[in-house]
Amino acid sequence: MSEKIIEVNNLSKSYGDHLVLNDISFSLPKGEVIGLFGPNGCGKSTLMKILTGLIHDYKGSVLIEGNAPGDKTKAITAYLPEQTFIHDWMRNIDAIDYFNDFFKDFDKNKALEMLKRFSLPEKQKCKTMSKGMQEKLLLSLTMSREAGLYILDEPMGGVDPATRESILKFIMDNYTEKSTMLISTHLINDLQSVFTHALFLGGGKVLLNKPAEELTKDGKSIDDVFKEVFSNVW
Amino acid sequence: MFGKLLKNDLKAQWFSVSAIYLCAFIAVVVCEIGANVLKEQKQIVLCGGGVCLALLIASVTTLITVAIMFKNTMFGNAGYLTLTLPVKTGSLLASKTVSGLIWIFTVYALLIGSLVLWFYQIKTLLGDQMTDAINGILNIFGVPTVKTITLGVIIICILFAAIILLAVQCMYLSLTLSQIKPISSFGKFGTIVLFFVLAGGLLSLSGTVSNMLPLNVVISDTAIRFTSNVGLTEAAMSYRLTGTFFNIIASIALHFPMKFLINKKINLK
Repeated sequence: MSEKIIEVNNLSKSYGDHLVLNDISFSLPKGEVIGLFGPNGCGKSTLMKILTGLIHDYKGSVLIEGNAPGDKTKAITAYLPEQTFIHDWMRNIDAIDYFNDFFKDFDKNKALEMLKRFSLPEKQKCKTMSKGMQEKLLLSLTMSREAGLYILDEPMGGVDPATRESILKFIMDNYTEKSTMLISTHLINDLQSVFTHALFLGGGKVLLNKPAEELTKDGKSIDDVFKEVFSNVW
Repeated sequence: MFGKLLKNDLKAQWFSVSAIYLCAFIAVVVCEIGANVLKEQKQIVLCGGGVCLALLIASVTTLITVAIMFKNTMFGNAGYLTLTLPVKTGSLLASKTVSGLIWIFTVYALLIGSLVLWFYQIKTLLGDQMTDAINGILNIFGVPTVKTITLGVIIICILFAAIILLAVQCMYLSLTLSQIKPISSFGKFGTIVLFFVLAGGLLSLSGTVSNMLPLNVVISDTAIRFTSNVGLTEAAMSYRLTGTFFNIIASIALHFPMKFLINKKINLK
């Protein structure tokens, strides 16, 4: 089997009495575009937050490139959360400078090019932009890093269908085979062509963890498999 | 990396405190113009008081703003960026403390400056003869002279800076603790109560330590000296230093539980 980038062993996480991740173990291969699928509340975002070191009170072990989430893994992980994380005071150019200050793998010129491509004015305050524009900015910032692991949580949740295609193209143009991408999405149809691996979460468990090729060998699409898997669970 | 953190924290806080500074500046200008236009003694004193009040309000508002910025950038949506930076949590916290203190001390220094200015405005209004007379009366009753009181106020300002440091750290710790259950269920009210309990508790502990290990700085017209003797034989002012040392050490010590909580207990919602 190919080299692993993420290794999760006996991971459990609950919110009060609600067990979101129930003793799950899996590993994910390096250099793949991995789709993280599951219904709402199945723990996709929780898993991503654990991987990025934003949630600490879980049981089990999580390793990225052999390290527990921390300073080392943060340096190689580019994370795009669902939330707009840009500080209120920042203009687009300030956000770029901020990333340039802290991430060694950040390419400022690439980020500036992306701003132009998305028609985002450098000096516009981020908080005055629409949700779609903010999402484009966040994507530009995240994808301007040459990270080992990209974790994208619903990267196209707030954009119109016309923009989705250009964003998808944009993500794939900036993806290199040295990197791994973990993308959670409900828009399976829009993205399924790019996934090379799929991880299905549901009922607190890993329901499926397979290469996309294997899933689609019978002529099914990932969306078909999703419907099949989750019709059995619920 | 600490330098970059500090630079960005100062920028972020400037975005919020600049409005406060602008309001305080306008108030100060209005009061000063008022003091120069109005020639009545009483009104000049009132204008000076207005300047001090404006800066006092600015000090408190700056403190609150710094607290809000800490909460938003660490535990709000911006926390998704702050807490995924490849930097040590200790550096993050230290940068927030230093940057917050820079803004608070700036407005605090302006407040002290305006108090000094006000004092001299009043002194000029009274005239040298009246000042000498007041000094004479103070001497008769064994009260420290104006010079001693002036020196005493400077020492108080320095000692008070340690209390501000402690207050900022207590504020940050309260905000951090209020992200954890069951304190989080009490919301803002819980955070405020926690702050007063923490700050009050530590300040009373500081008082107890001062009583147990007395080390005082004594200021008189002739000298400033350090002593463990509390009794004073002359018209002097005495301040407890042990408490100040305790406040500084406690402020540094509070950094560690915050670091632990952020690294091990706090989850971003």
